Amino acid sequence: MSSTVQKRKQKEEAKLEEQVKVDTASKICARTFEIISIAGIVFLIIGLILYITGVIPPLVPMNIMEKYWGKKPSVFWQLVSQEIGKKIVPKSYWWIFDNISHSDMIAMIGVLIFVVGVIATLVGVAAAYAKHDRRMFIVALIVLAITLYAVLRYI
Amino acid sequence: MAGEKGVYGLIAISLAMMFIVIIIAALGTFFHYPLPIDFWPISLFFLTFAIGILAPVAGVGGGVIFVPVVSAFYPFSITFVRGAGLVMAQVNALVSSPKFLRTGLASLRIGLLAATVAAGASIAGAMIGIWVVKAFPQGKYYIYTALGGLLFFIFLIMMVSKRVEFPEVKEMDPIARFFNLTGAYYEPALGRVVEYKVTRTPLALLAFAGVGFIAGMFGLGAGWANVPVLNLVMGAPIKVSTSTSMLIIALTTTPAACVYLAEGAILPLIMIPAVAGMFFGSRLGAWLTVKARPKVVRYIFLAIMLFAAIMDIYKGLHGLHMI
Repeated sequence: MSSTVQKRKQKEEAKLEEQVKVDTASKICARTFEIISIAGIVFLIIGLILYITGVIPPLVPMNIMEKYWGKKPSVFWQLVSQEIGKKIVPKSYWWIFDNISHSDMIAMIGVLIFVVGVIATLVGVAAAYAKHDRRMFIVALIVLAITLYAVLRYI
Repeated sequence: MAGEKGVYGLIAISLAMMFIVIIIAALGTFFHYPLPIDFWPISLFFLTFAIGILAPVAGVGGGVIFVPVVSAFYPFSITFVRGAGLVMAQVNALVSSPKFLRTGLASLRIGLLAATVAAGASIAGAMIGIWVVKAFPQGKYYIYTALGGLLFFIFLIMMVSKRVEFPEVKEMDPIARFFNLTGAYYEPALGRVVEYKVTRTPLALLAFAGVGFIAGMFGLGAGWANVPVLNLVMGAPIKVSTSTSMLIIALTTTPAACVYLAEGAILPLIMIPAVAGMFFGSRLGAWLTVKARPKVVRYIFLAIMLFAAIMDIYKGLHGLHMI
C-alpha cells in the first residue's frame, strides 16, 4: 500500500472516529482516571526505589526471605538501609527505621491515591450527569456511596 | 499490514516474556535453584508487564492470570498475592479505560449500572475471602477447584457461542431503555461506525452481583466473568464488552482493595513491582485492543480463560491432595 493511500485511509478512519460522540461524563472519567493512575504509579515507583535502595528498610521482605529461604538479605542491604537512610532522612524521622509497619506506608499511600482518585472520578461523573440525566446521576451516586462506605468502614 | 504485524509481534513477545519468567521462577520455587533475592520483585515486574499487554485485549484486569501464576510459581503467601492482584487489576483498568472511554468502546452507562450491584458484592466477597483463609485452611482449595470449574464452563460457552463478535439485539428491555444503554464506536476491521444496544439487563445485573462477589473473594478484577455477561447476556459487541469490563473493574475493585488494605494484605515487595509492570504493559495493551481484530480478541480471551481454569483446578486439587 502506497503512503498516499495509507494516509488517505488514516484520514478517513480519523473522520469516522470523530463521528462517535462521547458524553461529558465519559470525558471526565477518562481524564481523572489518567491523572490518578499516573500520580499513583509515580508515587509507587519512587517508593519502590526507596525500598530497594534501603532508604525505607526492607524489613518485611527480610521476614519473608527468612521464612522461605532460611536467610536474611545481605549485611550490605541492612547497612545501606541504616546508613543511607539516616543520612537522607532528618533525625526526627528516624522512627521509620525502627518500626516495620511504617515500611508498608509506601504501598498504603499509593493504593489510597487510587482509591481517593476513583471517588473523585465518581463525584465528577455524578456532577456531569446531574445537569442533563437524572437517572444516571442517581446511579453514579449509588456507586459513590458504596465506595465511600468501604473507605470509611475499612480504612 | 505493518500495524497488524505489530499487533501479532507484540502478542508473541509478551507471551514469550511470560513463559521465560515462569520457567525461571519455577526453577527457584520447585527445584530450589539459588536465585538472587532481587530476582523475585524484578521478575514480577516483567511478568506483569507481559500480562498488562494481553489483559486489556481480553477485557480482564490481569488478576485472573496473576493470582494463579504467582501463587503457583512464587513462594509468597496467597493472601499477599490476592491483595496485589486486586490492586494490579485496578491499576490496569485505570490505565486502559481512558482510551476506551474516549473512543466510545467502553460504555460508562453500562459500567456504572453494573457497578451499583458489583461494588457492594465485592466488599462482601473480600470479607468472606479473608475469613475463609483464616478460619478454614482447607476450605480455600474447594473454592479454587470450584472457581476453576466455573472458568472452564465459561470457556466452553464462549467457545461454542456464535455471533459473539457482533451480537444482534432486536429489542431493548425496559431497564436498558430507561437508562438508554446504547452506544457507538468505530470498528477499523469493518471500516465503519458500529452502533449497539443491549438487552436482558435484570439478568445481567444479577450476574454482576455474583461476579462482584467472586472478584472480592479471590482478589481478581473478574473481567473474565464480566465479558461473557456483557457479551452473551446483554448482547454487547465483544470489543465493547472487553472495554466496558475494564471500566467495571476500575469501579468495583476499589471497595474490595480497601478491605485488603485494612487487613494488611497488601505487601509492597509484591504489589509495587506488579503494579509498575502492569502500568507500562497495559498502555501497550490498550493500543493493541483498538488495533486488534475482534476474532484475535476472542482467541486471546479464550486462551487466558482456559489457562486460568487449568491453574485453578490444579491448585485446588493439589491443595486437597487429590493429585
